[in-house]
Amino acid sequence: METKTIWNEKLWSEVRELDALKELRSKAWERFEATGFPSLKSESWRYTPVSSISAMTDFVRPASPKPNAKTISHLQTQLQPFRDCARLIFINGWFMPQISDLKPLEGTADFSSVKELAVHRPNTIQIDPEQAGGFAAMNAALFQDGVWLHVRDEARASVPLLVYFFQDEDSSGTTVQLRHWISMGKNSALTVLEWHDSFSAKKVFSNHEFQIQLAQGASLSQYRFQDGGTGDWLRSSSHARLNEASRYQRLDFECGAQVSRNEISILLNGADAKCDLSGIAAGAGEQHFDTQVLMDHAVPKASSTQSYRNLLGGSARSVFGGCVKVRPEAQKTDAQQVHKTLLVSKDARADTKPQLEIDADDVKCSHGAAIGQLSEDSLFYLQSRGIGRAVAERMLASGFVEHLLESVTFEPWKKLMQSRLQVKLDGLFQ
Amino acid sequence: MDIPGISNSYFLRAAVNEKRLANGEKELDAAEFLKLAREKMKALEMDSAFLSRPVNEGFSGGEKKRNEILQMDMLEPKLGLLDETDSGLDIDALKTVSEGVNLLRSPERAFVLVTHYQRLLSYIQPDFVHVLMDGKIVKSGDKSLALELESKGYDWIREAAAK
Repeated sequence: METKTIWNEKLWSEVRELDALKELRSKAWERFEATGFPSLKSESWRYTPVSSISAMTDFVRPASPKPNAKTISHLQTQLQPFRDCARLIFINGWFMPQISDLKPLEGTADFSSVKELAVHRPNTIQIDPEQAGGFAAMNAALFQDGVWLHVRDEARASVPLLVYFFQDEDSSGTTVQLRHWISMGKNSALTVLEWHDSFSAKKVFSNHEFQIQLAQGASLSQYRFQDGGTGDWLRSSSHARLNEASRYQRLDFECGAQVSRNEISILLNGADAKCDLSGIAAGAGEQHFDTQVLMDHAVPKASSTQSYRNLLGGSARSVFGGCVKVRPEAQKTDAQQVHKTLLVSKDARADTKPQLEIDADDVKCSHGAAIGQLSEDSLFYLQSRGIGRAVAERMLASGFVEHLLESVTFEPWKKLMQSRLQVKLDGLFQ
Repeated sequence: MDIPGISNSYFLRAAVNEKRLANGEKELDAAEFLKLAREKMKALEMDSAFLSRPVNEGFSGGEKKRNEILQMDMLEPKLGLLDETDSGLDIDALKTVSEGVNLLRSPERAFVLVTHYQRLLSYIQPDFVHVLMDGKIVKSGDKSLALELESKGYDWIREAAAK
C-alpha cells in the first residue's frame, strides 16, 4: 500500500490555482506526497533531521511585504557598497521591482520574474518533477517567484548582479519557496552575488531551487553569502550544467541560519569545462550546516576542484558529503576535492564523507578530508613571539578559512565577507 | 614551523601590537605598521613581498632565518638569544643574517650567540666569548679566544678545567 505524505494542505490549496501552471504544480505536489520528506535513513540526509520542518504543518505563504522604516534603512545600509551593481531584491520571497535595478545589464542580459512568466508565458517554465526528491518536488509545486535570467551570447557583464533575499520581521512562520533559472549564452560572462539576509529571529523555512546552464565558453562566478536569521531553516539546491569550455566558479559562505542545507550538483558535459567550488561554513551556538556536492564528470577532458573549509565552535555541527563521479567515457578528467574542518570547542561536531566513483582509467583524481583542532605547535610559535593565547587562537582560526576569500575579485564583496567573518570570530572567541 | 593562512604582516603586526600594549603604548594601525615594516625590510634588504606570504610557508632555510631576523627587528628585544642561528645556512644566507644582527646591535640591546663554529664570528664580531662546558662557563675572553679555539680545538680548555 502506498503511503501518502500529508503536510500543509492549506498551503497547497492556496497555490494550486495561482497561475497558469496548475498541471505542473499538481504533478509536483503528487510527487511530493508520494516521496515525502527525506528520512535519516537516506545516506545524504543521515545527519540532518528534517523533523522540525515536516512536523510543522502550519507554515503560511508570506504576505506582500510592507517594508517599514527600519527595513528601508537597513536595506540602504546593506546595499550602499553595491550601488554600482545590477540589483534584484526580494523581500519575504516577493520580488521588489521598485527597488531593483537592471539597467547596468541592459543589452547584456534579459530578466523576468518567475511569477510573471508563470502567468504570461507558462511554457517557458520547464520542470520535470518525476525524478525529484521531496524538497525539490515540494518546491516545484509551491514556488511563488524567482529569478529568470538569460545572459546573451558573447555578452560580458561589466558589473556584478546582486541578488538580495531579505526576510523582515513579518516573515515569521512563513515558507519562502523560490525557483531560479540562470542561463549563460555562448561566451558570455557574469558575476552573481547572492545574499541571504534577515531580521527575523523566528522560524522561516526557505526552499530555493537553482537551474543553471552554461553554453560553450560561458563563464559564471557565483558568490553566495548565507546570513539567514537565527530561526531560519534554509535549503538551497543548485543544478548546473556546463557545456564545452565553460567555467563555473562559486564560493559559498555559510554564516547565519539555524539550519542550512546546501546542495550543489554539477554536470560537466563538455570538454575543457571547468568547475571550481569552494566554501566556508562558520558555525557557532547550535548552528547546523550541511553541504552536499555532486561533481559529475560525464565527458572527457573536464576539470573540477572543490575546496571547503568549516570552522565550528559552540555546539555547532557541520556535515559534508562530496561525491566525484567520473563516468566510463570521461577520460583525462582532472578532479580534486579537499574538505577541512577546524573544531574550536569541545562540543562542535563534524561529519565528513568524501566519495569517489571513478569508472574511467586515465584520470587524475584526488581527495582529502581532515577534521582537526588548533595546532599546539602553531599556537606555541605565535605565543613565543609575544602573542597572547586568545589572540593566537583567533588568528589561527581566521587564517584557516580566510584565504579562501582571496578568490573574490569584487572588492566590496570581499570586504563584506571579511568583516562578517571577523564578527563571527568575535562570537567564537569572546 | 609554518603557519598556513596567516600572512607575515598580519602575524608581525599582532606581535608588535601585543608588545606595545604590554608596554602601555598605542597600537599601530595597518598603515603605520606597513611603513615601519617596509623601512626595516629595506635596511635588511628584504623583498617586501615577504609580508604578504604566509608565515614560513614554503620558505627556504635562509628565508626562514631572515624572517626570524625581521621578527627580532620588529619586536626590538632588549636581549636577543640566537641559538645556532648559523646551522644549515649557506655562505650568502649566513652573511645576510649576520648583517641583520649587526644592524640591530646597539648599546641598549644585548645578544647571546650560541655557535659551534668560528665562521659566524667572522661576520659578527663578538665583544665577549665564553666557553660553556657541562652547563658552566669555564673560560672567557674577547674575540681572540674564538680564533684560538678554531686553531687549537677544545681539548686544552677541557684539560685546564679538569685541573
